Amino acid sequence: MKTLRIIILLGCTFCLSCTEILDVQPLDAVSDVAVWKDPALMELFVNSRYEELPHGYVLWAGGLRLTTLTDESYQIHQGSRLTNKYTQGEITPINMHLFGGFWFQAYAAIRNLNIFLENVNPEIGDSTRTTQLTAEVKYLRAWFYTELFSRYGEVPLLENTILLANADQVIARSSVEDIVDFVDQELKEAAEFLPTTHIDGDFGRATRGAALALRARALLYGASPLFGPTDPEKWQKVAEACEALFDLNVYSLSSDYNGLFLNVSDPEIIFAKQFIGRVGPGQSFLEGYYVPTGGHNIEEWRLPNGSGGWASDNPLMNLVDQYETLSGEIPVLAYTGAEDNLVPILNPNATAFDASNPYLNRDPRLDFSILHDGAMINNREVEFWECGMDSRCEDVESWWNGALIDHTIRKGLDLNWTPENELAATTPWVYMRLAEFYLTYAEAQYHLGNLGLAAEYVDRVRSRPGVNMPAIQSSQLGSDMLEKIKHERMVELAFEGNRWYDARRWLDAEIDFAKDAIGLEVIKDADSGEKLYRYFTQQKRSFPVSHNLFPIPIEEINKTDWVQNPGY
Amino acid sequence: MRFAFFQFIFIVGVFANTSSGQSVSLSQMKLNIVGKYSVLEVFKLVEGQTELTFSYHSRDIKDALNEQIELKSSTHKSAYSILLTISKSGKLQFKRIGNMVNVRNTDEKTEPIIEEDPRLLQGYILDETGEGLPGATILLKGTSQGTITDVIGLFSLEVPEDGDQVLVVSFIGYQTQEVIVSSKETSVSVTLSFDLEALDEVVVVGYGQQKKESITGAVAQIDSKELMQTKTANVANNLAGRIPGLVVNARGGQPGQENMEILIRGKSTLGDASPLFVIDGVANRGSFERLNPDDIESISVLKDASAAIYGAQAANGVILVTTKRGVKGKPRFTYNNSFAYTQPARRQHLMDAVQYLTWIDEQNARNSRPEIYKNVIDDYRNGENDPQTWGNTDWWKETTDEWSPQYQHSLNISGGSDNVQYYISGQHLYQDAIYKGSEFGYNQNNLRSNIDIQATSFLNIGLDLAGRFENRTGRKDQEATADAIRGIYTMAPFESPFYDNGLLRKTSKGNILPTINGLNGIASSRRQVFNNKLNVKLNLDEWVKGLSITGFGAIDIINEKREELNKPYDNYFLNGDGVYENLREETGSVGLFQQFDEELSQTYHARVNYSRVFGKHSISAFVAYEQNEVEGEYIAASRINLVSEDLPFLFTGSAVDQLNDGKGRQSARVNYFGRVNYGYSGKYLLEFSLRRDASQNFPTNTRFGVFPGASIGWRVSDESFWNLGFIDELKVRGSWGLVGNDRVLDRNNNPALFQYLQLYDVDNGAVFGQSPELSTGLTPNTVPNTGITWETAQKTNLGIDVSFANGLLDFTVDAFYEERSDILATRNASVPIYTGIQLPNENIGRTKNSGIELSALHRKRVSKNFEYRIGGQFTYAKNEIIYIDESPFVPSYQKVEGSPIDYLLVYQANGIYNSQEEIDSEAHFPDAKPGDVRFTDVNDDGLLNADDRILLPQGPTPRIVFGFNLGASWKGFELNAFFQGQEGASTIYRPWDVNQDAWYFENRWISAEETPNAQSPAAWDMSSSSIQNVSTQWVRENDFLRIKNVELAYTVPKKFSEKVRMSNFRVFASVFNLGFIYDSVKLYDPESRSDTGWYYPQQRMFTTGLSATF
Repeated sequence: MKTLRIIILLGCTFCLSCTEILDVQPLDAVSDVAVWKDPALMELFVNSRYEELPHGYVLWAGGLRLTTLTDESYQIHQGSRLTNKYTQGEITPINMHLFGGFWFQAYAAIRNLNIFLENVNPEIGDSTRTTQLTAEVKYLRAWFYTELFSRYGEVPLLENTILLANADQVIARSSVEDIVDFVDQELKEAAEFLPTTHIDGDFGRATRGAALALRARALLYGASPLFGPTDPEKWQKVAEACEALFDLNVYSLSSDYNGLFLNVSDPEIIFAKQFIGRVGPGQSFLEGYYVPTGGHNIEEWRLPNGSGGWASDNPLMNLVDQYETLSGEIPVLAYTGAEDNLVPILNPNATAFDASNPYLNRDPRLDFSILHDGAMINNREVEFWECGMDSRCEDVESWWNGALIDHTIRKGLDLNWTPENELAATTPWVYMRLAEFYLTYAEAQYHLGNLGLAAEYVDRVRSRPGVNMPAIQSSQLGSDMLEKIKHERMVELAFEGNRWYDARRWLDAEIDFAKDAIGLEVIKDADSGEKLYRYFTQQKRSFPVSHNLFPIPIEEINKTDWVQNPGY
Repeated sequence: MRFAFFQFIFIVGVFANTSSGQSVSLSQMKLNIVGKYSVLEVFKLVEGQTELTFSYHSRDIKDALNEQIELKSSTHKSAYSILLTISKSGKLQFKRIGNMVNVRNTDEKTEPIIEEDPRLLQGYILDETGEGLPGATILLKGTSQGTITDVIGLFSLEVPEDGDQVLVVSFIGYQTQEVIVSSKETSVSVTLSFDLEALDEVVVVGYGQQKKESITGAVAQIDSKELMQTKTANVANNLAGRIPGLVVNARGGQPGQENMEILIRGKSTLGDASPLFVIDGVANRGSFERLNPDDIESISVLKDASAAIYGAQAANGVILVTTKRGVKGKPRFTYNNSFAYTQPARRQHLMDAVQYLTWIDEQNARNSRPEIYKNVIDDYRNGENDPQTWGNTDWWKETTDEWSPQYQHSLNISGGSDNVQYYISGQHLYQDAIYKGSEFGYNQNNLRSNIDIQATSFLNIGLDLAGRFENRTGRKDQEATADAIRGIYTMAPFESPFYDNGLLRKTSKGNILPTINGLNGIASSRRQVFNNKLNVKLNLDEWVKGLSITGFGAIDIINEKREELNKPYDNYFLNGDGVYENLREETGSVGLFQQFDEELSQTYHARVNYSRVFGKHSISAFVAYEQNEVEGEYIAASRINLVSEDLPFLFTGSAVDQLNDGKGRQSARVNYFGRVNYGYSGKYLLEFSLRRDASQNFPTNTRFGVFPGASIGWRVSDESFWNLGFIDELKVRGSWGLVGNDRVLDRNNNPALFQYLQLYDVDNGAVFGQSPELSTGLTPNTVPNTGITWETAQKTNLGIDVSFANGLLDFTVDAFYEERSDILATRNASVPIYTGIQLPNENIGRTKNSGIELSALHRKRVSKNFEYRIGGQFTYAKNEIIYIDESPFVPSYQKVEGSPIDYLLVYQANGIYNSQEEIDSEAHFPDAKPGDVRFTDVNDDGLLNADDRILLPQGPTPRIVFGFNLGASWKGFELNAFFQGQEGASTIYRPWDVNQDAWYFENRWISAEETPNAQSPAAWDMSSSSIQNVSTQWVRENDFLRIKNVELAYTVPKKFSEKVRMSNFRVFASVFNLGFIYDSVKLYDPESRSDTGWYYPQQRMFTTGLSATF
């Protein structure tokens, strides 16, 4: 009976433990309650919001700032399957997913930012810090709205999170004007609470200058022809926003155009993203193994195959020809002749231009931005010619990565990169720098009729040390002035992700993006070493007016019955 | 029941004629019959002059009827002499029992037989309820003499005249009894008691066992013998097609991860549709797949409300696995082994170099790019290609072996004394992967010890200890199991893996050979599973009759180590200067990732049972409590730049770039439940069960749920009015129950607890700082579903069990209907994306599933040496969505209501465009060219867009599955064949990479003139709408009938095997996945679900082996 008693006793203990064992907690995440009570956790929350801001080195980046969508360059790899959809005018509401779902990313980020704004409690912790974090969040939210309206036009403007229960109620799209106003107000307010500079560990967070610069950019887009006829009042605001930025006296033009993209501390940079090249586990260990976290691989992506890269984005003649001769003339005006052997029509005024030595005597920014025949990389000459080490010749290592057009992008790349530090690239992505806003200011002043002031700011950019291009001619102070400003933006800001936005907002994309993509082949005579340059049509392009805006993704149209953007 | 029925009449006859007992022998019976008579006339005359009665069946004396028997007074003075004469002439045999003379026919030419027995014993065999037991066996101990009872439990048996006799009375499911009968006794009555331990005709159900005949739910069971007929390493493979209602598909064949999909009655939910696995009474010990098949005693499947006893986890049905236990007796050793060679049952044959280059150039031409391979192709044709640059490689052959070995050894010992019984076993299994080199594969060791101790008369203790060691090695990054196979498709066939001098070559797509043979690294996992269970049974019969208490504690431990080692390796590129450059530095440093995971699961169970018979009423009931807690955690770390790949430990790596991570997990359940079974006369059966479950997956206030189940059964054949002789048994059953599914998945169909809480994931923030550092960040996870609850299944089942002609044919049919509600699904069709809400799963979905299933088995022992068996299973299950979230603007023909759960929404393809005119004349995608897939503008609005997609009537889950097995044995030979098939499934097969099956090349569109009816589009670019927009062009039906298994075996006759002290020795040879009778997929394995072809192929396996018991 003794055993019996023990057994019964044991049996009963099972029953007694009962329901408290159900009180389990998640051990792999932090719960809601904890986050908004702890200033440290609130700060961590903001840290991740910065990561949601897409940068230009993500291959698809939600379609953000892809140079190969424009007349700047041509994508030779699989990406061309996607970019071709755009450059051939074949974007539809259904194939928008090819662009990585920026619509979803942006609104998911906006929701997270709204969560912060709804839950943040200034009473907790250091209130200055909390206010500053709040201003950072508003800055980031304004960023997404700027990005959204400049891509899609009218979009819904959500300042609060939507409850799950009401989630299927349709919200109307706000006008571009309302969104620009919202961004303008928010950034003005945020700027007040942001420090002019960050030092030490905070370096890289949004500053007052970043807020003011973004504001100027949003106002510029809002004032542009794509979103309505010219309105001096709007241009006045753009000018004022730029002046507010200049008045901070924090930024100055760099004297090192070449090095500024690798130096995040350069005084010209207003807002940039840093990277730590490292490999290691991502979210899921095995999946993420050897996937960069906090890094990117833009060097591998862009450098020529002779340096172990993939030469993916090849600059087009359409851009290269825009780099002036040292005397300030565009050397080539157009091409004529057979598609596989085009003849350049030279600018008679470009007397310094030598078609057999086309890279000589050019705007120094050409050398800084594009790896072309004759350029040096890592103490060697680039060899694009047939069976040169950067060519598509089967005797060459990784020949399948050889360039299709004999140019690759140089701007912002670390030329010392080698395949061994494959994923360890640390090149920063520069979102905004002062030169852009000098040109923005010039554009605003042009529209306000102050041509002299406009020319002055264009010339500031042209005459920076190390570039030293001549001032724009007085003859251009007339109606050509706007063209000159546009031209300067294209050259100065090449590959920085502005061209796609600029060409569309000027309504120039209909012409410029519909032009044939012109390629170049370097031919070297093996015996004499003499070089020839063959120009050809790499791609026929087309740009329907509809493509000035992206279509709203089909999924969203199906749920809302909104009117689709015109032409889709 | 023909036999028993006939016997019944016969017995009544006996009673009518035995009044005066038996005193004289046949030869003492003097008769006076002279003349010529027919046999029947003789019988009548004999009956007139004696008290004898003849009993016969007209069939038996048919041949003898016309015989004229001449009886002479000189020789035919006694009954004996008369019967002897008849016996000689008419080949009849006589057997006298009392005054009854049984007449039988005999086929064989034997001596005339007249048997008479001086003593007849009669009696009743009764069950505990006092009802007669029909069919019970009565054997005279020490002899082969015996009989069986008739329908009312009556028997009569001849016994030797003198001395006490011992009768052995037995009946399946009852305890065998020995009864001593003294020489004086002429009648006897024996009551047999139930034997719950007799498994043969007993079926394992939730928390207990039931006699098969008293089961009222839809429960199917398969025993070890049938399970062992197939010799695959994965037990689930052995089940396919063998149990009605069970849908088993091998989605791949990778050793150690065959990717078996097991569904009961198809799919009834949009969420996790896998059944609950219960191993030896303990739920959630993982699936049975990795158990030693030899250890399994039985597997039973609860398909209807019978699963309700498992409450909130049982909506998808329950699979109960019972392992073997010891039986009293001398130690019994059983050893078996098998050796197999496997090869892909079907693999792809990709384009060769010329086909591939042609394909690429056609792509180029179609996309206005230069055709760069024209000259090369000509060179190939003229045999002038330089094989160094322009080779022709079959990458399948290059990377995989023709045959891969697999073997298995298993030994078990069982036996025991009255107080202790044991079953201990061990198994070793090795499977080599198909990849070249033996580096990758699967190793498994199983150990088990099941011990039962009868500690006191009322206390029984069971201790089960089982350990399993699983070792898997495979390709680095093997997480995506398809990747290694995918690699084959990414290789250009014109490139060869090696240069002529044998150096490994760097190819344009990255040579996959080093990833396949382990040169570039290896991923491995070492998993150790320990299942421990202490079971206690207290029999309180002494105090309260019928009362017992059972309890168990089960502690399961799973440790898993995963490891990935990156190894640099030599590979070369022949540059223009003719130099082989070693590109080793590009392959990275020696890097190591390790993850250690441990999990502890504790289940405690206590149950009070009561089981008693009151006259005709039998009652059996229990109440129980069970709780389960699971705790787990992992840590992971990685380093690069290890000193050497031969020291794969973290300490040899560099401190820079080292990383680590760790997480924990916890879950718990509490359950209260009980069941009552009531039977009246064994004819009317009732069962009711109730379970109250709490799961931590739900918020505190709503975590308890109640799940009732009820069923009734009527054994019609037991009724007194039943007189359909050819049906032995007929039972009608019905059940109803509410069952839950608390396995909550997140929006990506991964298990996710705590969906009712807003959680924040710790992740990486941006890089900040003048000396840049990666910051830590926090990101909100899915928006919480604060009202989350389990999905509920309402299950109804109607079934009939029939047994014909004394077991010649058993037949079961079940019809079922189920409705599921509260299925977790997102509202992503109606909630706009701009809300930014990462939608949680909400309990919004509703589905239904209905169908029928049949199983039939015909067995016949044709002669002593020949026996055969034909069995078949058939299941038809049709599921349908009643409600899921849909956009209000979806066109009516895209409304998924009424569609199968795994519906396919695709464009309607209408052949291939033959001309530009064709394209221009109708709506088309902007990039359409002749040779592209021609799409139908379904809504005829002149636009081709997402609105033109259509719903297909069937998805990848088959509506019909069936299987049948044939078995025959002759002397020691056995032949078993098993066929498995399915109908009513469709899958998308869309080739997706650099290279693809040559079929797509051979059947491609070339031009309107050459290929006006091409089956496949012209060489496509991956960006082309033809392939980007999934259409019916890429959908194939998965109908097939597969010869799943054929086995030929020989058992050495006992007289030989016993000479070497073996009680059994069997050798066999078998083929698994032998081939197809038909299939509609052709290019791919019809069981595969991969739409790209990147799956580890299902294996065909040639096996031989033996089994010995001694």
